[in-house]
This record gives sequence, structure tokens and C-alpha cells, in this order.
Amino acid sequence: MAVIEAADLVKEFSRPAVLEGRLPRLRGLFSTKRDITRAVNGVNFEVEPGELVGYLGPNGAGKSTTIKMLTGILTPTSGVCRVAGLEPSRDRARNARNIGVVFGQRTQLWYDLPLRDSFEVLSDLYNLDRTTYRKRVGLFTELLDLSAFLDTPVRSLSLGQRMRGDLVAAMLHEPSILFLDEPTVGLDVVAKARLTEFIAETNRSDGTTVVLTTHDMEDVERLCQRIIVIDSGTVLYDGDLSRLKERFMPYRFLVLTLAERSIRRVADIPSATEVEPSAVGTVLPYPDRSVVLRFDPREVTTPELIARASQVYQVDELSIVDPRLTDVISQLYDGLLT
Amino acid sequence: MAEQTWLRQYVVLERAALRAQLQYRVNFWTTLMGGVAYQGTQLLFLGVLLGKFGLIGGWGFSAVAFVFAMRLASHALYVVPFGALRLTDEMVRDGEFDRVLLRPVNPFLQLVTRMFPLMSLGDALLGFGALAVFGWQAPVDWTPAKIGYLILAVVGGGLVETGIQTFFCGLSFVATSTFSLRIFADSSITQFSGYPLTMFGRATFYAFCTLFPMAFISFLPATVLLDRTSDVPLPTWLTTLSPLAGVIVFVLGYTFFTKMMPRYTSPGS
Repeated sequence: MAVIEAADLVKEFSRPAVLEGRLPRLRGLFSTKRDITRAVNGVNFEVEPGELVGYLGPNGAGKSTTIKMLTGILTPTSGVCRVAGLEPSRDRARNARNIGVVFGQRTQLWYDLPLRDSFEVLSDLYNLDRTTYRKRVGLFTELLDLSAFLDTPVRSLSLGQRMRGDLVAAMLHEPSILFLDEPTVGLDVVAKARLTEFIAETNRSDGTTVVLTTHDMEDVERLCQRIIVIDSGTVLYDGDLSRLKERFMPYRFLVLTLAERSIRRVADIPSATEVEPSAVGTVLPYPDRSVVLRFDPREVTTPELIARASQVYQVDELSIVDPRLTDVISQLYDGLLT
Repeated sequence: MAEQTWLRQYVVLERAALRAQLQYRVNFWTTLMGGVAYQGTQLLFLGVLLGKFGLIGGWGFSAVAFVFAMRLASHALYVVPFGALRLTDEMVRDGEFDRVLLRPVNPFLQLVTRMFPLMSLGDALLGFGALAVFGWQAPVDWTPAKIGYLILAVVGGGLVETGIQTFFCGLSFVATSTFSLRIFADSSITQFSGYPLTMFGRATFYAFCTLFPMAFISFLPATVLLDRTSDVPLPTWLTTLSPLAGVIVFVLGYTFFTKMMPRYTSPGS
């Protein structure tokens, strides 16, 4: 049975209307007109226990609004959401015991207290017994390497340290469901790697269900089996990451760097199409000497294509590049893929 | 994980708030001294006022001083346990209220423990000190029943103020900023409720009993203790029941707060 359900979920926000015509701001003070925006417009999905789902979308797509409804912060305008059988907005406190939440942009910790004190307070609020508390903090301290800054006030922590602290705070009470809203935003490569590894491990070993929103496609590729893509408040894609790749990224690129003396020409190589170097998505070291061929591995094998290309060009170097997930996702956002 | 009692949660959160404030030593001491100085000037003002004018609204020095002291004590009973409510407006506007909703603890309890009422300890000192001094001097024959009534009246007055402030907290979920409204309420209570409210005329007095029920904070119960219910254009039984208004105003304010809470829009992402 699904542990998270969203059915026809809608959230509208209303704000005073911006008037047009003469003296709009002055007239606005006396106007009762309101503009209504639909941040989430009929979202449907289900998440099974133990899944690690990436919830993706451009800025303003409705990701955070959905997460806020699932965590009990916002009350849906219409539709239903259920988390572990509870309606978060109605059963807020009980739902809070089942879930852990991390917002990358905003800390849940006590800003002026040492990290350890925040953990103590949370342990008291969730009524953890001392043995469980010590065991959990000990485990997390080791896994996330917290010992150096456990006694530092939260306000003095670096962003990476604070995020680790926030993650522990969200998981201290052993929630079966984790909502992580951009947990790696602004982190350096090392901090990010440590955090994603920890999230993967939590999901793998404890069977914790994880819903992750992020703009970082590396996080997605490293962590998520399944992704849900939304834009303008509606779901554009919901399914396996690998299926998305098969469906929208069946191509690979063969990048050839031609020898200096090789003559560049329009060559007709069967089963491959020459494309602009920019299609690869990475900066090529010698763009003026590069030829990029896009091919479908189902039609021609890579060695075969290399052999064919070598007959046409004098090649110094070659490499095979897979298209980037980020390009596919941004094409999805732009409505170029259906 | 059994449920914690709300009292235990209150203690845990208040202790954390105090520890947070103790982090800033200079601020701790200046806040404490500032609180005493601020309330001291109020006391001086009262002395000057009453020294200059013999009667206010037909009430003599000792009676007015007693009403004023009751109001200070009531105010202390609001501001010490519930004073942090004034931060709600800002927490709602900048989205900090999110984290209140993410914890399995009553939101109101979390709001009132947002900050330890260090500065308000001065209010308490002054309020109860003044009540002891002016209560002693007031023309009241103190009996255990009257002392009991005084305690109920002061608690009731504290609850009226808390109820009004809780109402504004509820309003902050729908209005972006309630700062000026709250300041208006705060200063109106400070400026008016310590005086014989009948001196403003009948219409204003009725408004103080209904729309903006600050008459219940100290004036009405004080007339009972001072045996001056005949000054009040209300039936005596109603005036006598005035300490109950605290419970009513608080329940109304709290109900409004919980009804408005689902309209929180959680700004920012």
C-alpha cells in the first residue's frame, strides 16, 4: 500500500490584485480585488514504502508547495494527500512524528544553541528514551562526522555543517518518511557527496521512504530510481529514471578530434548524424577541430561507428559522451518532449 | 514514543529559549537592567500624575493607584508567560512558522516559548510589588474572599490581554502585517486600562466592555473590591462576574487563532 498519496491535489494562493490605469498603488490600498494563482494544479502520485523518489521541476513549479502540503505546513485548497494513512493538515502533530523534514534554505535548528543542545531539545519533545537518543546521536556523529562541531552554536556553522545537523535533527526520532527539499543547495562537492551517500544509505539500510526535491541532476542520478517531474503545478512525467533516459536519451555522441592536417568535410557516415558541438553539453577542448556524431546504439555499435568514422577522418582523439540528464529535464520543462 | 505533557514541552522549550539568550552575555545584562529602568519610569510617571492631580474621574489617589497596580500585575501575567506572542507576526511573514508546524507540539505553545521573557521579569517585579503596596493602601477591608477575588481578577485580566494578543496572532495569518494594530492595542491597554474607564463617557465605556474589552483587565473587578459598582452603568452581578471575561476573551482569541492557522501561506521556498 502506498505510504504517500496525492490525489487531485490543488493549492491556490490569493494576493491583492495589481491594478492598472491611473494611480494603481493608491487605488490598490482601497481595493478588495484579489489575484488567485494555482501553485499546484491537480497533482496525482503515489509513493510506495522504501522508495527514493526525485521530485523535480523548475523554480516556481510547485515542488515546495507540494512538499509543504505533505508535511502539514500548508492546507490543500482541494484534493487529498495522505502520508502514512494520515491527512497532514488535519492530523498535523501525529504526522509530524512519522516524518522528518529538511529544507535546504531554512534551518530547523535553534540558531543560538550549540548543535548538541538542539538535538537534546528535540529528543525531549519527541520523548525519546536516553539510550535510543545516545545511540542515534552516536551513530549520526560517526556517519556524518559531526564530532568537531557538535558544541558549536548553529549560527557559527558552515552551510555544509548546518545541513548535516539539520539532517540529523530530522532523523533523530526515526521517521519512516523523509522529505528533503533541496538539501544539497549551495554545498561544495565533498559536502554534497557525503550527504547524498548518507541519504542513499538511510534509504537502503532502514527502508526509509525518501522524497527529494533538487535542481542537481547529479544528485538525481546518484540517488533516485524514480522521478516525478512537475511544471506549472502539474505532473509532466512520473516513472523510472532509466525509462526516461531510454525514452528521451536513446542517443550517444561520438566526439572526434581531428588531426591538424585532416580536412574537414561534410561526410556521410551511415547511422550517424553530425550535430553542433554544443549538443554534447560540455566544453570541447578544440571546438574547431571537433566533429560530433550523434548515433543510436540500437542501430550501430560503437566500434562499428568508430571504424566507419576513421575511414573518413584522420582522428587524433575520440570519446563517447552520453547526453546529460539535465538537458533532457530542461527539454521536458520547455515542453519539447512529450 | 509516548506523548509528552504540554507542561513538560513548555519547560523544555522555555529552557532552550533561556539558554539561547544566555549566549549573549552583554545583551542579557542590558536587557535585564533595561527592563527594570523602563518599568521604573512608568512608576515615576504614576507618582507624578497622582501627586499633581488629586482626583481622576471622581476617584482618589489610593483607588486609582490600586486600579493601576492591578493592571500592571495583570499585564505581568500576560507578558511573562505569553509575551513572545508579539514575535508571531514576523515568524508568519518570513516563514519561520514552518518549523512550528513541523514539530509534534501545539503551535501556540511553541509561539509563547519562542523567546524567554527576560525583560518582562521587570514587569512582574513592578506589577506585583505595586499591587502589594497599593493594595495595602487601598480603601478595601481585606478578607480571604476578597484576596481570592483579587487573584481571580488579576489572572482574568492577564487572560483578557493574552486573548486580545492571540486574536492578533490569528489575524497575522491573513493580513501580511499586524504590527501597527498590535502596537495600537498594546499602547491603548497601557494608556487606558489602568484608569477609571467610566470617565470617558458611556459610549466609550461600553466599547471598552465589548469591542475592545479592556474594562475587564482591572477596572471592573476593582470597582467590586472598592465597593464602587454603583459608578458603573452595568448590573452589579455582571460587574462581579468580570474576572470570568478573561476565560471568555482568551477562548475566543484562541479559537480565532486556530481557525485562521490553516490559512498560513508559508512564504518562500
